[in-house]
Amino acid sequence: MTPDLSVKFCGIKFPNPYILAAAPTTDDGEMVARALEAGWAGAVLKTTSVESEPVELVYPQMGAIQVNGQKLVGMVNIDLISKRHIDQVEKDVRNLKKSFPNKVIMASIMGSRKEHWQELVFRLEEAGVDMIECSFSCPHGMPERGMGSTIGQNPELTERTARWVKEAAKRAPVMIKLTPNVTDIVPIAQAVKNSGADAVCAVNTVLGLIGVDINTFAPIPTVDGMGIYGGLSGPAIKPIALHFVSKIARNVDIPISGVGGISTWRDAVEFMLVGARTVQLCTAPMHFGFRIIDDLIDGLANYLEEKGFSSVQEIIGLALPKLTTYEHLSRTHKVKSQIDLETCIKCDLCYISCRDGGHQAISLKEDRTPLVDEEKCVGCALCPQVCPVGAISMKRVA
Amino acid sequence: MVPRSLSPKERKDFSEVIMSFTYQEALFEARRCLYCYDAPCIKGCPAGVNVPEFIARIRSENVLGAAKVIYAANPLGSICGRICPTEALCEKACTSKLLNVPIAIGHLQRFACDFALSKGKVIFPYPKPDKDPVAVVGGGPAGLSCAHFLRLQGYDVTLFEKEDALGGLLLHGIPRYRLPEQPAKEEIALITSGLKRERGVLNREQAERILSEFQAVFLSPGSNIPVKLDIPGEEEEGVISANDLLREVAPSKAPLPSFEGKEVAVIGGGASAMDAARTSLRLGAAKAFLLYRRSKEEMPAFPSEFEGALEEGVEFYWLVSPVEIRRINGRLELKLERMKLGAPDESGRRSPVRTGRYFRMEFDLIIKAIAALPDRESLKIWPGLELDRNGYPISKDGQSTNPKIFLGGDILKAGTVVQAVADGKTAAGRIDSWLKQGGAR
Ligand SMILES: Cc1cc2nc3c(=O)[nH]c(=O)nc-3n(C[C@H](O)[C@H](O)[C@H](O)COP(=O)(O)OP(=O)(O)OC[C@H]3O[C@@H](n4cnc5c(N)ncnc54)[C@H](O)[C@@H]3O)c2cc1C
Ligand SMILES: Cc1cc2nc3c(=O)[nH]c(=O)nc-3n(C[C@H](O)[C@H](O)[C@H](O)COP(=O)(O)O)c2cc1C
Ligand code: SF4
Ligand code: SF4
Ligand code: SF4
Repeated sequence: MTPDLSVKFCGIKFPNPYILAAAPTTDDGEMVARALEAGWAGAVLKTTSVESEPVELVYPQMGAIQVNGQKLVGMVNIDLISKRHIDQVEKDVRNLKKSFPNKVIMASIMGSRKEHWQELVFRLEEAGVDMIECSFSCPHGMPERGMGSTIGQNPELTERTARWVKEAAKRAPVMIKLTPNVTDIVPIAQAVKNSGADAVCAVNTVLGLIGVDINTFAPIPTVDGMGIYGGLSGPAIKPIALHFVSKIARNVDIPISGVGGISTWRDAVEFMLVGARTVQLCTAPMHFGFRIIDDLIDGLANYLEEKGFSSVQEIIGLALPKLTTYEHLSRTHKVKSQIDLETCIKCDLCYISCRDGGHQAISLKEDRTPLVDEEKCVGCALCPQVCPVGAISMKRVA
Repeated sequence: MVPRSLSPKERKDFSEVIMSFTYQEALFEARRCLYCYDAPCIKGCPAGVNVPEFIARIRSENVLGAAKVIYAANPLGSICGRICPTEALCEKACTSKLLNVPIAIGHLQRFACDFALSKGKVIFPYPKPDKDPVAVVGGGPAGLSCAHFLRLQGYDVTLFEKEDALGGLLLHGIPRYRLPEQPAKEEIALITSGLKRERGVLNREQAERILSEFQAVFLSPGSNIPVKLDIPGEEEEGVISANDLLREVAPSKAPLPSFEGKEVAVIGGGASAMDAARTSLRLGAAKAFLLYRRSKEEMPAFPSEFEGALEEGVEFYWLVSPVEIRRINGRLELKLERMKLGAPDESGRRSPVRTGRYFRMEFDLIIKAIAALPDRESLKIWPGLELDRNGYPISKDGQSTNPKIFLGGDILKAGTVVQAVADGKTAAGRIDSWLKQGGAR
């Protein structure tokens, strides 16, 4: 039986957990229509504002790190909220709702004053939006004006602003998008809960400097010779996002939409295992296009079927009981490195990494075959990380 | 990944067949390298080039640094990157072979060296000579390498070479479509700048003078006398040696002979045979046949050379041996005996065994490329130098029966340029330690 991929999130049914995050991919009704056509469950239209809000963009906007040829391992952008104000977004919402009644149309908003936030909510509800996301999290450009992550870094501002929005929203659930640029996310998520808002979206981009041009000495991306800190997204931030999502899930009783570094169905499964009910993607579809939805859906369905789950909702939070604190970890558990010589291709990377970064537990035979000395192996598990063919596993010995 | 090469149809002249990696292609390929510890590719390289180190430097886009690593071990890096039979050397040992295909080490080496050459950044810091005078006889890759490494250590080297141009088979053996004059001449010029040299063929008197004036001699005259077929009709017009043909077409501006419409037979199965056949087709031959007395498996040519010939349309006849040549109606009739494979001989390859069955084929040209041996006459001038029955000097660890004379390259059975370079380097080290221990004094 094919597993049921639909999820209930704030009372709304999503045909699958995959949502396009607020980003350039959702900055245009026509683009969103193509994505929904391709199979995405819904989209958060790129963050909009009232007509009087100035939005002056700069170019270029993107920079990225590549690791040994792998492109876009991490990407920084210095984009802002959408140039398209509420008047245009209203129209998009209307058209999309008409064409895709069973998909979930969300809109992201940002305001500088109570009246703006509330006006945005009224007009979007009027247009038929399914859900409202509030960006308390843009790390550049907006904070300087008291918006974006300035709010999301302060529990009082978060609670107050979320309350304004929740007050105004008569029908659509309200979700607050949080910034990871905080030391502790729990008080912020708790503030959202206290405000009465319905959900959190975690996380937005991580403040970062993606690189420096070693020829011109200018930060990247470089705008007429100058640069700023930007927002880091993509695979590089997945561990950070997983940390925040799980942290919120363990401490605050509020539905979570997980975002940050998701590019495959495996990533999505991990986010759901630590408590996300839906997942949002931005950099991956920016990199490869909306078509990635096919494998995202199929891979997830196959995984669930193989594991014997009938609904994707069954996996939500399954990893949470296994997260603990250091003092609760077993002191008697012992593992040793074990090399499968059938698979080993004798590159001897395990040898050199254990020698110079571990415990000198691997020696080489005459023919370069690696040999683990179980007396010396402390079981740190560095070597399996470096083996290019997965020949090393950690064997439990106690 | 392999770089682009000319399609067989495009190989009408002596343009280089295999292109260089582009910068992006080189990066792409370099990223596949596993950076093995104690990497087997290093041991597969006769010159001991630190392959993982130079590939890591390409990967970090420190291409000049990559070239530095290569040139430290092999001063003919660009040349060897092109013509080394890597499939039998470094790449044969490459760990990545077990994952998918070996890293294209040769092409990466060529890329890094050409990059540094194009930037004018290959400079060898020869110190002012303050050590013993040493003579090098023969300016092929072995002699040039030995002179280079000796000079780096401060030896006062004089090179004796009979030809005007230096480089040996690099310039008058290996054809331009595999090794263009550039970079061959450029690398040779770099390692011979400021090198003292004397021209001409040596006689006994000069040999004695050299032995008395120099503290040691590195002898590397190659092994370039074509072996005769030793059959009737060998002296007929139209029967030539691969050696002569390749030497004739070697200079890039040489007036080329025309083989237009001719059917050519090449006898042999080594590098010279492959190159003679491929050269014949480039000169316009209607057909080029390669006749070899054993089978494909026993051919001494390296797989890449064989494949090049096959792609270009050379036709192969295995297990045939020439018996007689006759000139009939202006063509050459070649009588051949069918052979079969017998027990392995001393080379370890299965030997050709006669069957007593004969057949005849007609050609316009017959090219002999069966083997080459040392020039006995030019070796006899050296006092105390004992030769074996094939004319190779008897030696132990590269030192001949005259302890002052060290050997390397084809005269020591090298067979490849990189082995010749390695021999020269090893000999430079041996000469240095021998002299430090007192030499012949
Ligand atoms: C057709 C052909 C193709 C080849 N292809 C390849 C290839 O693709 N890859 C590869 O690695 N190897 C190849 N080889 C082999 C390679 O060229 C040799 O192994 C290498 O050149 C040997 O170097 P050497 O210095 O010992 O001798 P040589 O290159 O033969 O140089 C000897 C030098 O000594 C000089 N000399 C000789 N006698 C005297 C004397 N009495 N006095 C002064 N000078 C003298 C000669 O003029 C010459 O300059 C090929 C060889 C041939 C013939
Ligand atoms: C170019 C760009 C523009 C973005 N614009 C917005 C935005 O307007 N509003 C918002 O809430 N998030 C915005 N984001 C953040 C993404 O929605 C998402 O939270 C973040 O990129 C992390 O997810 P990812 O790793 O899947 O990209 C933007 C991201 C990028 C790369
Ligand atoms: S687990 Fe750690 S100590 Fe043990 S062999 Fe691997 S790297 Fe060395
Ligand atoms: S890293 Fe893996 S493949 Fe390489 S030697 Fe160790 S076990 Fe073998
Ligand atoms: S053996 Fe192959 S993969 Fe390993 S370092 Fe050498 S070239 Fe790289």
